[in-house]
Amino acid sequence: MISLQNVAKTFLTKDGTPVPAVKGVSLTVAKGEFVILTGRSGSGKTTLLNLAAGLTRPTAGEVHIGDANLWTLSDRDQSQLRNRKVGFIFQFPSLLPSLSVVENVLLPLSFRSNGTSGAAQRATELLATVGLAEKMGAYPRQLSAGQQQRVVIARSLINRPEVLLADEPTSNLDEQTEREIMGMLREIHASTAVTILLVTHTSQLIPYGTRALEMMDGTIRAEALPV
Amino acid sequence: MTLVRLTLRNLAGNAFRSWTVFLCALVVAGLTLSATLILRGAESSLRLALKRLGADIVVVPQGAEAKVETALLMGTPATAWMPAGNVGKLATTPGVAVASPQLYLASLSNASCCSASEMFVVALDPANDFTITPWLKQRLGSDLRLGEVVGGARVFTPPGERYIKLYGYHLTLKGNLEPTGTGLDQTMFLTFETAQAVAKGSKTLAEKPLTIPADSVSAILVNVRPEADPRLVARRIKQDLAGVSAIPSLDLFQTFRRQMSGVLRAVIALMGITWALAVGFIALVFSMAANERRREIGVLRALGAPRTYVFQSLLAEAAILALGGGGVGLCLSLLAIYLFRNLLVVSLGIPFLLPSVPSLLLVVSGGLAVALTTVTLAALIPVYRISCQEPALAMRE
Repeated sequence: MISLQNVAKTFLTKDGTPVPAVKGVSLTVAKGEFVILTGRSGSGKTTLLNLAAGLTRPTAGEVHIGDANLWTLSDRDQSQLRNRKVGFIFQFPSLLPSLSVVENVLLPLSFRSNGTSGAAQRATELLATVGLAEKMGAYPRQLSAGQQQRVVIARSLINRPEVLLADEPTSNLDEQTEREIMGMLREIHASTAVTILLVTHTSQLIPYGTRALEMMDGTIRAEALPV
Repeated sequence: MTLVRLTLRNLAGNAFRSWTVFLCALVVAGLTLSATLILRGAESSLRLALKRLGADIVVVPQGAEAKVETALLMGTPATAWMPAGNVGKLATTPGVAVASPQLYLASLSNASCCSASEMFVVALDPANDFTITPWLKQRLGSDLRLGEVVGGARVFTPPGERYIKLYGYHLTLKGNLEPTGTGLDQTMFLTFETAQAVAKGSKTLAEKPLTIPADSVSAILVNVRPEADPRLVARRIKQDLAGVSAIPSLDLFQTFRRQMSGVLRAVIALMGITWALAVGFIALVFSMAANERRREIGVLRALGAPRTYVFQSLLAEAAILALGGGGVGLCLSLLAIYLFRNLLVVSLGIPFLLPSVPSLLLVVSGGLAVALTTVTLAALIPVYRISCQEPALAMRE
C-alpha cells in the first residue's frame, strides 16, 4: 500500500549546512497492516511519515501510495490522492478554530467537486463512534485535548481512507486518554482493515500494531520488540 | 463547507488582520474618491463657468483681471470700470463678431434694503448679450423686462416674500440657471435698464445709494468670428485699446488653474504616500497572518487542498476585505463631500460641483478597483509564498 524506495531527505540549515534526516530508507507497508514506527526525538520518524504522505519532497528515492508514484504527480493530482486515499492524525491540535466540530470533520470533503452526498450523515456517525455526538456544534476551544484528538480521528475517516497516517497521536494526552485513543484506532483497524502507519516516541504503543519498527539516526534499525 | 464560507469564517476568526486590511482599504478608496471628486468637481465647475459665459474673450479694465475672475468663480462682488466707448471700438476690431458689455454691481452688506448681503449682480445689455438672453428666450420665451432678474442656481426669493429687494427696489425672479458650482450660482443677472432704475430708486429707498459711473462698463464679453483666432484677436484688442486687458477664455481662471495644479500635486503626493504605506502595511499584516496560519495551511494541504485552493482562498479573503473596506470608505467619503462641500469651496478656494450620477458611479467603481488592486497586490507575495510552501514545512513550529 505504501512503498518507500531508497528515500532520503536532507535539510539545509540557514548557513547552508546539510542535515540528513532520513538516509536511504526502504519501507513497504502492506495493505491492512498496522505499523508502529518508534524512535527517539530527532531520529527522523516524523520526516519519514511526511515523506510517505507526500508532504515533503524527498532528496532522493521514490514514494508510492498504491500504484501512484507521488512525485511524478502534479500538485492537484497529489492533493486529490491524499484527499481520497489518506487520513491524517497529527501530534498538534489540528482542528480549524473557526469551524465547529462537525464542520471540521467535513472539511476534507470541501476540497472535492463531487461525491459528498451523505457526508453530513457520515460525519454524525463518526462523531458518535468517537463518543462526541453531543459536541457536533461545539468549537475546538470548547473541547479538551483528548476530545479534540477524537474529532481529528473522525475527520481522518470521513473520506473512507485506504491509509491512515498518525504522527504521535497521543503524545499530548494523559495515559487514560492515550489508551482510549489507541483502543479506538485498533477498533477502526479491525473493522475497516485500513492500513495504518503510526509514529511514536514511546514503545508502549507497540502492542497496538501488527508490526513495529525502530528508527534511529535517519535509518530503520530493526523490527522493534514489544515492551 | 464551501470556499466562501471557510473564507468568511477565517475573516471573522482573525479580527486584527481583518480590521487592519479593512481600514487600509477604507482609507485608500476614500482618499481616491475624495481626491478624484474634488479635482473633477473643480474642473467641471470651471468648464461650466466658461460655457455659461460663452465668450471667446473677456475684456476687463487693466489691473482688474484677478478681481473679475474671483467674482465670476467665487461670487465675491467686484467693481471695475472702463469707458463704455470701448464697446463700439471693439465691435469694429477685425475678427470680433459680437461685443457685449456688462456692469458688475454688488448688493449692500447687511442692509435691510437688500434681501441678500454682498451679492454679485451682473447687468447686461439684452440687445447684444449672448450669456443669458439666448437661454432666457429658449426657456421663458421672452427677454428680461424692467424689474425682472434671473438668478444663479442658489439665488432665491426670500421665504414669505414675492420679491427680491435690491437697494429697496423690488425685483421679480424669473428663473434660475443650472448649477455650475462657481460664484455664478450666487449671482443675479438683470438688464442695464433695471440696473439704472435700481440706481435711481436707491437714492430714496436704500440705506446707501447705488452708484453707476456714467458712460462706464465693467467688462465686455467678446465672441470672435468663426475664422478668427481668439488669441490673435485678444492681442489685437490689447494693442488697439489702452487701459484694458483682453483675456482669451482658454486663459481665463489661470490663477485658479494654478491653485488647482498645486492642490492636484499635493493630493497626488498624499495619495502616493498613503498608497505606498497601505501596500506595505497590508503586505506586513498578511505576512504576519500567513505566518500565524502556517500550520493551519499545512493541515489544509495535508487534507487534500491543492496549492491553488489555498492561494484562491487567501486571495478571496483579501478581496472581501478590500471590497468591504473600500465600499465603506467610498460611502463615508461621499457623505463627507456631500455634507461639507461648501466648506471645501471656502477652505480650498476652488469652485466645486458634484458630478452627475453616471460620472459618480464611474468614480465609485474606480475607487473600488483601486482598493481591490491595492489589497490584492499587497497580499499577493505573502499569499503566493505560503501557498507554495511544503505542507510539512508549513506545519513545523
